[in-house]
Amino acid sequence: MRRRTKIAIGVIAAVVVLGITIIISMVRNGFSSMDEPSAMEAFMATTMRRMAVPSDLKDAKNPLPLTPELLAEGRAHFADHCAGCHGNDGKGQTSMGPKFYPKVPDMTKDDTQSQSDGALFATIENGIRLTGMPAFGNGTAESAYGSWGLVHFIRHLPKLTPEEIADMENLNPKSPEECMEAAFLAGGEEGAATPTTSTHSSPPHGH
Amino acid sequence: MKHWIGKTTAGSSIGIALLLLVVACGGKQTVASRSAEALREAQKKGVAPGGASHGGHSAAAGDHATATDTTGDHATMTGMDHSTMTAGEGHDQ
Repeated sequence: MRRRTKIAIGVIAAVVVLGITIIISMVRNGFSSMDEPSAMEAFMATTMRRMAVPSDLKDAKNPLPLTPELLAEGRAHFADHCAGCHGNDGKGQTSMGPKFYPKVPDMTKDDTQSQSDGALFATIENGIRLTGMPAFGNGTAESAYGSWGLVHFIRHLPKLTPEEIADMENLNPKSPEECMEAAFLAGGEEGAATPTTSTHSSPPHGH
Repeated sequence: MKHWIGKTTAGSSIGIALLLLVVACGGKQTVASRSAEALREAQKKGVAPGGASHGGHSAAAGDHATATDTTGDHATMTGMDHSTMTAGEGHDQ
């Protein structure tokens, strides 16, 4: 056997042994979503996410002109549907955000802000496989309108003011207990005494 | 000759593998593309889908309780029942 072949076999054997050791170690210790993804995992996930954006949306610009009304709609939408995981400020520091795997990202940072409008839109509409990000789209113009509005709001996140955050807190979904407390504080003792089966303070809605 | 057959076989195998990967991953238009297309069509027809978008929030009024949209129903969404969740707290061991 030639020397080069022997070295190649040795390297392959070492890699196999190392791989088996890692797998045994992982299986023995189990997995937790509290762990930090490794650099390799993060690289692969980022690459896959980039590849998952449909080609017609990759470099798409937001087709809706930015207006104060649309931004306000996007803010309200975000407060209701997104803030539970992403936080009103989009930084992901919620009770659940850091417990996802991968962690809920800080959307004010470059990782998110450097993505194209179309990529952000695709993420909202399609979700991201093997993460906590669900698909919110339904293939309608209304869905697209809401998602493009959210893209405008995501762009606005780094410039969010404390007043806007305070406004959003009124729009966040409430637990039944919070609803009852709010009703009680508003003087509606009847409402407070009658727990509702609804888990949201708003009427049911899609998306 | 033998070399040529080997290359062709390898190329075909890679091609078939890629095709299978595309088929396995879906290979059809995504919801995002369909939504974007629907909006483009609506804009072409001059229909403005605005207002009660996904949630029908009355953002300008800033009143969550006055939202009037009834196009969807969270109650029918499996795996998204908030009723047993206490704001994500109390899970720490």
